[in-house]
Amino acid sequence: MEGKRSTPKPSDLLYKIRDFSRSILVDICNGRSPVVSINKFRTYCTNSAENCLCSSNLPVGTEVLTLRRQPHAHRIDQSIVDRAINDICILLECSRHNLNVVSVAKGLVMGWIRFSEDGKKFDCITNPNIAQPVPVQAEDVHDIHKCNILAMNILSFAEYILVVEKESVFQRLVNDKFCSHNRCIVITGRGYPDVPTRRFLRLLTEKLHVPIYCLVDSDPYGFDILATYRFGSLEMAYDVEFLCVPDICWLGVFTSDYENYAFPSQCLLPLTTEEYFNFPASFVPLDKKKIEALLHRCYLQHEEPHWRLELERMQDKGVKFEVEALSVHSLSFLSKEYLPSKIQCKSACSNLLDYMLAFADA
Amino acid sequence: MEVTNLCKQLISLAIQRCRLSGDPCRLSVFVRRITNSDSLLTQISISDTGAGSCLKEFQDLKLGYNGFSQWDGMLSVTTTTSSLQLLMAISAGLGDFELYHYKVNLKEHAPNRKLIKLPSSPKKNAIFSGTEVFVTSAEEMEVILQDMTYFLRKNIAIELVAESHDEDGLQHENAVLATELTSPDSESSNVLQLVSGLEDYVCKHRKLSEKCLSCFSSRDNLKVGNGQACRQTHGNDVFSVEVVILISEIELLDSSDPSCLKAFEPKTEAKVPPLRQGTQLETKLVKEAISLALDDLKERYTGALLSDHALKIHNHAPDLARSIAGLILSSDDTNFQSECFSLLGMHLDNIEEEAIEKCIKDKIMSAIDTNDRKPPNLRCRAAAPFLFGDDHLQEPEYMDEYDEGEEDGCNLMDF
Repeated sequence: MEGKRSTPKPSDLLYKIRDFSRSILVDICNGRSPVVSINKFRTYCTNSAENCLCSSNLPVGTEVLTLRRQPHAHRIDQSIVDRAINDICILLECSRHNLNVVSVAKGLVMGWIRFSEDGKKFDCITNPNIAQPVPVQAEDVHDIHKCNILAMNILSFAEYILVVEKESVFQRLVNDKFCSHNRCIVITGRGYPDVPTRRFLRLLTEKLHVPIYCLVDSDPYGFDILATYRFGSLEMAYDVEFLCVPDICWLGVFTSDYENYAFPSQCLLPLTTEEYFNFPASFVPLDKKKIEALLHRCYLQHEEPHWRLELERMQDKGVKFEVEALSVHSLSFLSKEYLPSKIQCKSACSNLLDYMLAFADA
Repeated sequence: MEVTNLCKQLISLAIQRCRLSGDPCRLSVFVRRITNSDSLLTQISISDTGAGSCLKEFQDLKLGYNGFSQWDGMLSVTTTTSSLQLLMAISAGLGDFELYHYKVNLKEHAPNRKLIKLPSSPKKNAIFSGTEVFVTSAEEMEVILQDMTYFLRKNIAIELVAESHDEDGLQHENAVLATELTSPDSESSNVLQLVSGLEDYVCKHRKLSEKCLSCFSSRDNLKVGNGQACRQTHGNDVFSVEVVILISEIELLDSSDPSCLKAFEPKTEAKVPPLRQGTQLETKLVKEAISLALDDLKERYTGALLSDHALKIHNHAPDLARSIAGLILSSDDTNFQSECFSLLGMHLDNIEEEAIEKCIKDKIMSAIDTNDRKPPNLRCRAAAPFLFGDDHLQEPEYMDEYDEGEEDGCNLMDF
């Protein structure tokens, strides 16, 4: 990836902090209003031109902070603190964890993995169906062992990471002892994934080099969560190269699955248009507007055009459905039929592609 | 009383005309008893030898609605010529030979008032300019005289003469001696005289006859700024506007009389004469002069008239100072610390956290005040320095908070 930032050492960061403080003090002591320039980053734009810089990690502008500006915040809340921390990270060219700013991780992991954090061992191998919280400081994770019971079968493609959107789906897999029958790691971000979850996933892909599959609901929010894993979020755009998983594969559920697996029509819900869904202090945009906004994102034109096709199909059909709809035939349909068949299909395609490429090179 | 209120305005207009003329002028106020049929009336005439009378001023005089019991509302004006007419006459090679007479009924509402032109009469003497205004009232002469003595200006020689007829003929009696010109500094400009007059006005709580010594024993709690804007238009016409702004902060000192604060509530007043011609140029000039006067105030008195933004940022200065002090004090690097302390002008020994915070806070406030005074349309065009010599040099976007340029057609008092 272009412009990859190296991990800064603590001494480097301290030096930068001192330098920054000194320059502010010099300005103030000379009667000048201090001026701070902060690079702006983004993961996507809605500009359909070919040459937007979103896929690179270059800054796309600068924000200038001065004492002459009226402070935006009249009340300090979480979003203000988050933004301030992000600004500091951009200024010091580091990630949050470099500054020892960590948050409680809400993600969960289970499967064939063993890791330790801060001297504490997390061993999922003995109990691959027990969920553990995702480690908070992913940099401290040591000794990730990929345990492959079928170690002799080095051609086994059953080794993969499955990312699921919701905790309810994760729980379904726990109950069905999915990891006993499948050699994999299952992770959930429990909705929109937080920074520790995304960081952990990124680390796993770098270390293990196994396929990653993503299972989300067939609706705009599911897609947005998939896009967050794949491309990163706008808030953390400056850190995207450490947080995104470019090789993640969209496993399902798709609009076409509804037909292929013959779901009854009560599983389908229309995409909302007129109905407002208004929680206090938050506004949930309508489904159709959300899909339109998603379709305008530049990365769907340039980088994942087949994802765009799938999204358009969803828009055309005007319906959405959840992963839980797969239980309409039987509770274990997801674990025993859907996931294995999908994964097998994906890995077969991947093998074929590798074979053809190898053949072309020969 | 309405008639004396009117006379105050007429006298101030006469003084303006005198100032405009630039030469020494004479302003005379006559108060005469006259008989008209059976009734005894008092006639007040205010005459001056100033220049540039503007007839619109008489139409625009402000009056209350309850003052016409003793007065019929009629005003008579005799004037040599307006400045424009004079210029035209001189440029046409004509002399200035006529006296023009007008009447206006001030009982009518201001927009409807019309100046009725009466036949003009020839000038008896050679070239002179001036204006004379007559008002007749049924009020007692003594009462009017008493009122009039309150508002005499000092820098122009003024006579107040009471005239009464008796069977033996005219008898003049000086009600108030002609004031001596109190050694006006002939060098002192209009603006400085305006400042002096305004200071007097404020020190008298706007109403008293003498300065209030309990509140204004010295002029230290008065803040004054002035500004002047001029434009020369085609030909030799020069438009000039002078503005004085005075801020008085009467503090509740032990020695000051609390009844002063009760009797004279603080208020903001704008004494603005009506625009002589009401043109856009005049409005622009007034705005410019006001802006210069405000800048002058800010320049002389640090911390005066801070903008709303600056005041809000002031509120955050203690927190900012605390953060910076924390960054300095928590560092392990003694070189860095000593460098910061020397920037702040503090000694390395006896460093107390509170002292450092206070020092930084004071410097922040001073930086805010200094930058608040800068012209509002200063755009930050230079690229802001990147702290770590970054290679990605982007043009910074600086949002200008103030509007550049002037807005035409806005109210004079919108500023």
